Amino acid sequence: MQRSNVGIPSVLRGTIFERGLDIDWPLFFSTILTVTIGILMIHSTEIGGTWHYLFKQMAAALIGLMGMIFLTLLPYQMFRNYIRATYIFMIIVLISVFIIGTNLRGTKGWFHLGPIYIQSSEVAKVLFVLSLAGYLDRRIQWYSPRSLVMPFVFALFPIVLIVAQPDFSSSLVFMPVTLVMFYFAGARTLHLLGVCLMGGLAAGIPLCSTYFLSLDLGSSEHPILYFLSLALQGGWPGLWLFLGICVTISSVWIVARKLRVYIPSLYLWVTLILIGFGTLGAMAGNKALKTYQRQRLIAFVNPDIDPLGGGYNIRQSQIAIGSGRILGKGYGRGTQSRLGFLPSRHTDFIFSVIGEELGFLQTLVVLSFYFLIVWKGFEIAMSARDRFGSLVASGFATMFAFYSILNIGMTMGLAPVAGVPLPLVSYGGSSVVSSMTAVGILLSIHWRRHLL
Amino acid sequence: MWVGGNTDAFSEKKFLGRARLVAVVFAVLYGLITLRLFYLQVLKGEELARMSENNRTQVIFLRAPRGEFFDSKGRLLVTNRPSWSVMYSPPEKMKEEQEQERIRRRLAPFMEPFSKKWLRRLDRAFETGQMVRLVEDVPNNVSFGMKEMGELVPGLRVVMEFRRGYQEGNVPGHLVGYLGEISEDELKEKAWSQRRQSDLIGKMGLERILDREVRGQDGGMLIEVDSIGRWKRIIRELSSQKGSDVQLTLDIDVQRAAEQGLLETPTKRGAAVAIDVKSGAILAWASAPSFDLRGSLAEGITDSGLPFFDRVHRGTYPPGSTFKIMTAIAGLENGAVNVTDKINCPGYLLLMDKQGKEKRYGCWKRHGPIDFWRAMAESCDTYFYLLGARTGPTEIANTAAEFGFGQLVQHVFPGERTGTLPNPAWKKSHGLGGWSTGDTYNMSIGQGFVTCTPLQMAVMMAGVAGRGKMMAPYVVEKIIGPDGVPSYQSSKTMLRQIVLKDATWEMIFKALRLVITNGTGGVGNSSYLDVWGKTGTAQNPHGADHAWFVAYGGYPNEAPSVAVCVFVENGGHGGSEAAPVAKKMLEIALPKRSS
Repeated sequence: MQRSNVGIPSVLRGTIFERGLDIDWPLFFSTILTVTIGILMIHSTEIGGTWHYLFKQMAAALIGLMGMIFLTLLPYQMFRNYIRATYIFMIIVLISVFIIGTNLRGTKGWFHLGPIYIQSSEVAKVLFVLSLAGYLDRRIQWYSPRSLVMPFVFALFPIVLIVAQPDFSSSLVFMPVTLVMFYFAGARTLHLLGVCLMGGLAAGIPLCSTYFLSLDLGSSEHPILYFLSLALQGGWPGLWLFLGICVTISSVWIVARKLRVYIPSLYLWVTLILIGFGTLGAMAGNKALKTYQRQRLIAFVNPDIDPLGGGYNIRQSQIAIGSGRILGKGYGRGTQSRLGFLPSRHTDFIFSVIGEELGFLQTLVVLSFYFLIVWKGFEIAMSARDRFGSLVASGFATMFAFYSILNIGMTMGLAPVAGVPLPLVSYGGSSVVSSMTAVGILLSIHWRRHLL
Repeated sequence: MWVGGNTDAFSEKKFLGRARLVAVVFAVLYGLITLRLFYLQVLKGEELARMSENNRTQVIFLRAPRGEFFDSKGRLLVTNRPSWSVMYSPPEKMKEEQEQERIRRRLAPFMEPFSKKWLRRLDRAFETGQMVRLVEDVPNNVSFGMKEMGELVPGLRVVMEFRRGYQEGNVPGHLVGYLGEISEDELKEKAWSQRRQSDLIGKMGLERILDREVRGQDGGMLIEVDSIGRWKRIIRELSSQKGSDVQLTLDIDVQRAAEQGLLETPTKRGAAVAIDVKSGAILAWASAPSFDLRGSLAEGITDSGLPFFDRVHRGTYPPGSTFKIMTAIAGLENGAVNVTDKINCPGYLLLMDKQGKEKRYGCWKRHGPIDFWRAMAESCDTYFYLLGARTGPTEIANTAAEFGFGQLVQHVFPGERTGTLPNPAWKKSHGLGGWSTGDTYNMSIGQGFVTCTPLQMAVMMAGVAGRGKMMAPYVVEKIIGPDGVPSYQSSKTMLRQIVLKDATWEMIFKALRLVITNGTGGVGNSSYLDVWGKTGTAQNPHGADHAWFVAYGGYPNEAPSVAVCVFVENGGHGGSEAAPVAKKMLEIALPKRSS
């Protein structure tokens, strides 16, 4: 296992020159197969028309394949030495897109290079995972407040920049990836739960208020719910509710003290501060939410409220998948997709096309490829030779799982319509290339796992 | 094993544990997705497949051309013509109020010439997602505009459909009736259970009675549509089948003579019927005023002349002197009259009522000494008061009942009225008190309680002309299925044979002939036909006198073959107003023979 390193340049350590071709073939092939299925299914949505999507996606897949092979050969440790540069490069990418970027589908997030458009947020995702892993690899002092806050500050910049494009759905992945990687890096569970509480409040309050708004309650029939719906929109009723909750928690704490149950006062303060920040975040979020985003939220919570607004897409997607039944309608024969009942059928709802045309058995195969890729990602993370590799691998695996579960869950009515693509399959060159390069990095980590 | 840098065994162990945990969480989530996939595709697959099928397909019903109507000589009365209908099927997405409003605004300029109904139909389309006919019978130029519009308003279609076509001047409107969209109430009726919303059904006359035969089999198309309602292709097509044709007993020439004759009368209101004596076939069935099936029917509804009211079988009127035929037959048959005996007619008859008060029963003229023949010919009321009193009210009523008064003659026609044929028992049972001689007087001359329909009158005359052979009147000769095979053929049925003494027949024929040759019905005489008849000028409490003329005629030396009844509402004198129409009908029904 241990060989002499003499004569081999450090760049090539642990590569083909030392250990021979050691590729994680299951990961490699399930990636290639998934991309191939994606290309075929995208073409199925344009049958009888052009071959436009097919060629573009194939070209992207070829570029992605080259990137994947290149990154497999490249020692991933290189990134660790340049984490600051990587992060800054990411920020520059995201800022420069405001200056030299092109507006596409209402989002100023694209670089126009000759015949191709590159989506800046897709580039940023890969760079973010690399730089965050590098940062977390170096910081292991988990008790200083600074190291607790820094990763989130890390995530904050790309999120803000991407939301400003505005591309809300592309920014979604940063928080969960940060949380999970932070968790892997050894953060205390309690701290992370606190962050989750704050985040839950910040995200949950706008959701609840939107839901209550959609119910259109009368003040006389449901006085309590009516007050709640008012309070959740902020303003004075919101402030009263917030104060009420704080007073309740404090008095519970005081009563507990009188009963000689001593809870450190730190917990009380931290809880109150978390609730305070969460509420503040919620108010900001409430203001920032666009009408269509609200509609999507409502449609997810209760699709019957607005069956043809936000809920229409979910319903049609479920009809598409379900109508495929066990054996599917056949390639290119999905009526839901062909006749336009499915929205964004070659991008966000490509999984519905798969379900409709291929049926349960074959869709199960596609699902298992995804599961295999994620599982392999974690396996690689657990067998990596250093913490940096572990964090990068687990970061990519999380990103991959997050995207695929959110997207597939959305098409089946299990998750809100978030507008995230299905990695490797959805039409879109940047997404395919970035996903494939991520797989390349995973392969690179796998290849170099044994070096001491 | 992690190597190098700032790593330690503790944090690696922690990492491995946590990574395993998160991986398991993701595995569980994938498991949930798989379960959901199983639920949707396997457990609910059938249902969702059906929903996707509903999504992509749309059923369009295409009306079958209805059967045509012919007269007895095979001349076309009612046919079908192609017309353009504007159909709209809302795409799945059309539930937003704004979208609906946009469609309304787009369509409004085209819809201006039509009734506002299309708005309601559009709403129904939005509500149910089903295809509706917005407007029918769109003129050609508008339909071209609509077709172009179809590109802008997905789901809008202009489709060719058959509509009723009416031959000019050839339509017996009241008998054939008209079509209309099925109403909400009708949809609930059992008789129309096969029908769908917006179907056209017969609303009146034969179109309604024979709807099942005439309607045919609607066709349809199963069409694949995309999400915004554009038609992609026809999946299946079922062609429609035309309904059965109907041959009527009418002779359109006689019918037209009747209709035009009525229009030339002073009030332009009335009814005219002609019946073939031998068979009971109805040759003409006219009620005036009528309505124009080719135009808008809506105007007729508010018309005070009640154009939709079929006076032939629904209008009941006092028959006046025409009823004297019944009185005479009853008197002759019961030996209550000696035809040569004369009475004196001073122009009235006085009758002492129970209180000892004298009441005056008038005659229209001072006839002086008068016998039966002149009394019939000149319609002397005084003579008939006395004749009636001598015969007795029950006998008169019995005779009239034999000839069809007071009962339905044509059980097929809905809404037919019986009129009133009174007798002492009837009066009592209706709480009108005891029968008096005055009642008998009134009844004898067809006034008082007596009322009848023009149809009854015509049937009675046909019975007299046939010497008591009462044939059931009918209007449908045969119904011919689409394969050319008759599915129905009329059979001549006799209602009854009225048995009277030969002498009675001879005398009543002679008297009715005298009405034409020497009496009030002179206008009804024909240069080449033998005509028998009776005039009537019926007083009525609602206005001017009704004019009646009933007659039958035939070629000389042959049995009389056609009976007619002409009634002119508030028309005045039967001899002058109704008789010309009857004469014309008779002469057209029995044209001059060229020998």
